[in-house]
Order: sequence, then structure tokens, then C-alpha cells
Amino acid sequence: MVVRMSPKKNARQLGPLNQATDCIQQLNINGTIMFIPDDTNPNIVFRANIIYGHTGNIIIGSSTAPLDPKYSVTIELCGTVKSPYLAIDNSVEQINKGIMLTNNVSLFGSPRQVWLGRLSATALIGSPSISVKPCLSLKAGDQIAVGPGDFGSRTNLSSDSAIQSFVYTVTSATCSGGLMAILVQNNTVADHIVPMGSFQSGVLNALNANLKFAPEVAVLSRNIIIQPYN
Amino acid sequence: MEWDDSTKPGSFVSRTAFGTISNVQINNCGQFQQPKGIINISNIDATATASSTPTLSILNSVFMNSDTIGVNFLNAGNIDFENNVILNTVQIGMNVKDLNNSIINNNIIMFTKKYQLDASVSMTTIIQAN
Repeated sequence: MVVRMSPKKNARQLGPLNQATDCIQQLNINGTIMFIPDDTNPNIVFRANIIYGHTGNIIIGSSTAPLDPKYSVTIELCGTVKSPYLAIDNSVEQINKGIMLTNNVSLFGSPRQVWLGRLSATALIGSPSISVKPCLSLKAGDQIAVGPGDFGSRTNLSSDSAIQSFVYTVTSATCSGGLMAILVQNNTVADHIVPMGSFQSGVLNALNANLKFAPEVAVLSRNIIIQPYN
Repeated sequence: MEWDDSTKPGSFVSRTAFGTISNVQINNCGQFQQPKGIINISNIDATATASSTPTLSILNSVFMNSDTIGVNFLNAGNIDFENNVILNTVQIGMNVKDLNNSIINNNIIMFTKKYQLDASVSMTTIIQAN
């Protein structure tokens, strides 16, 4: 059976709901469930405490037709458990809050072609503006993370692995000459320092007295979101 | 989230997890104080070759805010994990154990309170440029 989650077929048709939260207690998928927003209801929010994929399929968009950027689908996991658990092995398949998939999943959100860059100028604490290279696939309201993403493994613990990365919400983003000027809603809360003079060549200059790291800037927002409810 | 293709004792149903997650954002998940991350991929045909088993591809996605591990690969194979962001995890950003016939490439792991990567993989798994 294929269930198409559209404005005309809402979650109530799948099973009993918690009337206060519109949450399904448990969704078992042995057929196919598709989430299809449209202009009437561009933002689908589907809530369930537990989703078992079983032998079924979950589909949002496709490889040739990802979810249109003007739409969104949010799957929210309900339940009051403060310590969600998963237990799965050859004899146990148990979860009290979450999604357990054992067959096919096809989730295609709107692509963000350029999702990662680096600061191209130092962003000082309290500044509302960030300069990034190259231009990112951003729009107002998106979230970005600014911080070090340098590689650190178990045997080579990165000294900066515990350095805070900060998340900002974008107010506006303008691309010009390969650089992107980004305004953020809340001013920067830390100095994000760029190794000036060495960034252009792509080589970090360890002799630069100001060098701490070259912060990376990653686009965090997507239009398919999976998160807890409340 | 959990992917698994274990066959239950007493059952003759063999399940295979496959498909694609592309440009998906997963927030605030993970098994608190347990080795279960925002996303867990386990027991997926670790001995099969890519040609005989469908691949699970996770691409251009975001895994952020975990009380535990970010992304967990345990006894899995035929995984394509590329161009993803892992952000803000209490434990290891990406835990890779017994991963076969897979590619982990060009991901960024930001602000983990432990290691960014803990890996033991087969020679057929490529981890690079993360």
C-alpha cells in the first residue's frame, strides 16, 4: 500500500493520534509512505513517537526531483522520555523514541550546491557581519556554523577539537566577486580569526602571530528536517 | 535513527537497508549516555561486495546536537557517506568500526567534545579529506 502524505491525507488516516500533540504512537511501514507538500500546504509536519521501517519505504522527493526549496517536510519524534534508547541485535528490535529503518529510505531535500566555505576576513566579537569564500548556497533564515572542522582522530587528538563552534541565523547574504557578505541576526559571540595573508594561497602560515585556525563556515539548514517534538 | 538488516532468530526474513539520504537535517537526537548516535548504521552486509548489495548513501546532510556520538557505523558495508556536516556532539563525532566497501569523504566534523573521528576499517573502505 502506498500512503501519500499530502494536505488531503493527514496523519489521522494512519492511526490513532494523541489529540494534544497530533502524534502517532507508532507507525509501522510495510508499504510505502510518501510526503508530498504542495502550494496549499507547503510545510508538512508529521509527528510520531516511533517509526519502524520494517519492509517498507519512506520517500520524500527523488534523485531527479528533490523536494522543491519552497516546500519543507519536518518529521518530529514525540514522547516524553528524557533518555531515548535504541536496542537492536539479532533478537531485539526495540526503540522508545526514534526511527528504525530496515528497508528502503529515499529522502531528497533541496540541494545546497555550495555548503562549505571559510571566513575570508576576521569576524570580531560583536560584529553582525561575516565574510565567506566561496559564496554559499544561502538564504535569509538559514543557519550557519562557524568554527574549526580540522581533522582529529583517536590517535591524533586534535587540539582544537573542543573549541566551540557557533551557530548563527542568517539575515541576508550577498555574493560579489566570489565573496559572500553575510549578516547574522545575533552579533558574533566570539572572535573568529583568519590567518591573514596566508588564506589566499590556501597555505596556513604558522608563523603568523594571529593564527589560531581558519574557521570554516557550514550551511546547516535543509528542507527535510528530523528532530524531537518539543 | 537506526539502520539494520539483522535477521531475527526464528525468522526467515532477511532485511536489507538501502537507499539515499540527501540534503536532510537531523537535530537533537542520540541515545543519552549510550553509544547510539544521531544516526546509527549497523549490521549492513559487511561481507558483501558493492555489486551484490544495494548501497546506503548519505550525502550533503547535517547531523547536529547530540548528547552522545554523532554518526555511528558498526559492522556495516556498502556505505557512501560524503559531504556531510556533524556538529556539536558530547562524544565522538564519527565512530567507524568494522566498515567495509565504503567511502567516507569530504565531511566536516565541528565541535566535538571528544575525538572527531575514531575509526577501524577494512582496506576497502576509503576515509579521506574529512
